[in-house]
Amino acid sequence: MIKQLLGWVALAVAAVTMVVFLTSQQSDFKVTYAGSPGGSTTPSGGRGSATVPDTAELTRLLRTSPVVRLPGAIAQWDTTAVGAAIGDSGLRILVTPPGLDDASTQRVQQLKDADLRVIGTAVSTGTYAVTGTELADWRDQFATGDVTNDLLLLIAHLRERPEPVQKHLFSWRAPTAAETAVVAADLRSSGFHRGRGSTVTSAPRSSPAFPNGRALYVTLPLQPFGRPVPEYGPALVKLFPDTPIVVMYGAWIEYYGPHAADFAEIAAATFYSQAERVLDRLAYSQQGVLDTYLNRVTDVRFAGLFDRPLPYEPPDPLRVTRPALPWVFVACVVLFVALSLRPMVRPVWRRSRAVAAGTPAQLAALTALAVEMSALTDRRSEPALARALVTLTAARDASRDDLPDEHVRALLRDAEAELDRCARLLPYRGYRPAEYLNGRIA
Amino acid sequence: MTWLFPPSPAGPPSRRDRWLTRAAQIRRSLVSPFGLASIACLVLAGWALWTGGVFEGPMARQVRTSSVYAAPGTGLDVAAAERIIGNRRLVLVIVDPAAGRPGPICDALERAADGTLVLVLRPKPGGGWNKYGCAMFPGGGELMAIEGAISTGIQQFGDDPLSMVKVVAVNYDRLVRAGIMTDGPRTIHPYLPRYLAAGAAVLAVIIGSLVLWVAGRRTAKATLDRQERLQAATDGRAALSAAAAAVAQQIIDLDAKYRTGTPQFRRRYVALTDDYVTLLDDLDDRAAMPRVKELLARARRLAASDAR
Repeated sequence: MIKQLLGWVALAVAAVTMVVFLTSQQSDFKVTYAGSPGGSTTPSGGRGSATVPDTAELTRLLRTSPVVRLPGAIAQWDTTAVGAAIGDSGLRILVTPPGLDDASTQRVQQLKDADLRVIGTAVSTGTYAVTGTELADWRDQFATGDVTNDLLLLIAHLRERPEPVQKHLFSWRAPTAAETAVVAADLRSSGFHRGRGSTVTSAPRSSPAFPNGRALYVTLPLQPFGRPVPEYGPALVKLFPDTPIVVMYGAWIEYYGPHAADFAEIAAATFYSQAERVLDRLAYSQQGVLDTYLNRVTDVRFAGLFDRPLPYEPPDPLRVTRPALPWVFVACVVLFVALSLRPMVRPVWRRSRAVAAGTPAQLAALTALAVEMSALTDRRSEPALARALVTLTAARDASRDDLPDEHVRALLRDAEAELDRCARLLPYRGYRPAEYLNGRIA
Repeated sequence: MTWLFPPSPAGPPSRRDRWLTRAAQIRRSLVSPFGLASIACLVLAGWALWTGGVFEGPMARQVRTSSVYAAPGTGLDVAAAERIIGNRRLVLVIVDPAAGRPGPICDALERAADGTLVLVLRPKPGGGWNKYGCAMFPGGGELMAIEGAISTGIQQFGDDPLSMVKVVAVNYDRLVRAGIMTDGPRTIHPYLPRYLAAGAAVLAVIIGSLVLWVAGRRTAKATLDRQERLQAATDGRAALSAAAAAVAQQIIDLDAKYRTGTPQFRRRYVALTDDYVTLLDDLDDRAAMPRVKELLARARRLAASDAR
């Protein structure tokens, strides 16, 4: 009974061990990927109030000239290249300012006479629109309002010509010493230079985008198309080493300074690829663009891509595995098997008790032993066997007469004791009831 | 190890008896504690191997413990990419430019990448990436939006896969903050412990069988010794005692059913035991043998009646 209990306990321990082993194998540390304190990374606002003339007036304008620029339009392009692409096809282009109100947008979209519509810097045919895929596309578009490549692509599409090769007309120039000096002086005094025409009113005092929150900001308006743009970054890096420098041209932002190689392109690519769709046709303030850009840089920083550690914990097989548990499992199962071998493995710590639960079974088992021993007894052991036989017969009679079970069992115990005495007198081993019953009969 | 129906002194057993014997033997060995434990262990081993991914392809095997799989020749520093993705619930698979439809890839990764967002990318010939997403978590209904958002801005980095990975990581965090992806680390189920579990289960069965085998040999040897000694004593008495032991064995086997048996069974059983012990009154070999045979026949009839 105790052995049986022990066996089942061993099995239960084995099962629990295995369950613990299998469920503990996962990386269970805490890590969050929502920890960036940056706010929205999509520019908000900018829903416009600009209007266009009514449809009749627009149609009249388009009929008089193949290219109509409404007041406030900012898009620019290489007129020679676009003119050559249009050729004699008579395609007409309507250019509107960014940030149209809903009615105006609808009017422009439904205008039959405009083959190409440029709202802000968003170019479309009404059915197809073009979006940039690379940083150079967005730089051309947002720093100088250049939409040449977009126009050429859509014209080729409309005229069913092969896709043109992209050419970037944007070029940098080194700023003059005088230009640099003005900017540097502002940066030294307030950390912020606002170029003439820029709409940024104040630079962020502190931003989680940068390691200690401090950066230098230079904001310039949309740059004139077709002329090289002064590249302040490298010149300022020399003057302000190890300082984050943000230079803004129109809606295009360049970063110089520490970690530039780690994140500048990544921040720009993720920011402009997401923001382009709204940035190009709506009139966002430079302030709004700068704020959302800084939020995006914050995200990149908190993703662990620069300045902060990568939130990475490699799976550690040893820590995760708890390799001792399978051995405990094996030991428990083997213990269970060994304990379930009760009839065959002789007990060493316990004298034999009834082999089978029932009295008749015990009676039969002892009888079998007595019959077998009767062939082996000699004069010395004969009396003990005879006493055992008598006792067994008495037990049989008691059992037949339905005497209390305790009485029958007491007789059986006596018989077993006699048989044991007899077996000890035999010259052979293995006949003592404890050994015989366990070794032979299950 | 034990005699259920020994070579019968009461004539050769019928075909039906033999069949019953065999069926009972099989049933006994299956429902024995060791049999049950072995079956459980083998089921565990099979399950562990199956969930450990022993039948999975190389891509799934890599993805099971890593967040990145890059086909050879794609030029991605996998170790660096793994560090960048970290423990995000994100799996990035970069396949060969010549690879076919990405649908089967997602199917193949279903268990290895469980609970993650899988982004399959294929380099475009002219630069940039073809992309395909699959959500391995419940409620991937916004997959179109997720797929679009997770790969925003990667086209810029067609020839710089590592920067592309960084962009994807930043996009992922954006999805988490937007509440579209669940926050927290990916749960990795490494295959090594599963194999260890399978090995342990098989080992337990093997050692258990060994214990059984050794114990069985010991018992068999002891039985053989005893039979030899009896043979030496007297042939007649040996046959009698073997037959008597067989009856005893039958009685003991039937004892297990005593408690649950019908009143008629119990009556017959007790009578059988009675008559068996009566043997002791007169142990003359020649007279006792027919009685033992008769008892054995009765015991078998009783066993058969119970088997029905």
